[in-house]
Amino acid sequence: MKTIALPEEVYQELIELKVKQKEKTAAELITKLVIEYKKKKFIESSTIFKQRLKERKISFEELLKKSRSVREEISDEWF
Amino acid sequence: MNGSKINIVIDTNVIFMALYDPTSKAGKVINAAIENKIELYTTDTVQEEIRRVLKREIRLQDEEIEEKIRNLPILWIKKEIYAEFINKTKVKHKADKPLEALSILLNCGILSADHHFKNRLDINKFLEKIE
Repeated sequence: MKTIALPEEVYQELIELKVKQKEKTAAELITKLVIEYKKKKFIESSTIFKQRLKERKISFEELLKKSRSVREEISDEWF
Repeated sequence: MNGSKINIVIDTNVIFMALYDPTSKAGKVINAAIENKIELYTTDTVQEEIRRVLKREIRLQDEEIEEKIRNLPILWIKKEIYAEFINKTKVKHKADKPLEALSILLNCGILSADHHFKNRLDINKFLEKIE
């Protein structure tokens, strides 16, 4: 177990949320929050990825083909 | 490398499929890793492939690329760790050998859209197993 220091208001919000969500411990709540945060970041990456593909007028199939040729290039450079 | 979770080696095409559609089967695999149900591994060659494609084709800035890579729930394994297994690989294509070498090292399957890997996992069966 480790201890972290939180400002009073953050601590209060965390405990309120723990009660509302019926989590047994603050650690369980934080674990879920971390998972949701990571999912959100992944969705953000996805949104940018799709947006840029559209802007660059590259189809997903084309991207995979280009990725394949990049793989060949790396293989030749590294091995 | 870990005691209880299912280890999987993931290929670039599955990572891009997940980025393209997070609700897809590939996206579900990424979510399973975020939820700590499975452990995803891949090679430094795959990381470099993603880096170069995001730079050249998607035109992301270096900082954005590194952030995207950091946010993927994947453990990136360096060449020095899997290199000795390259001569044990069966896949004919040289560029695919690092992935197979890593799967031999970890004794696990590969999730890839390319069908030429002998130890390729069927994504449908895999998802049934973990859901």
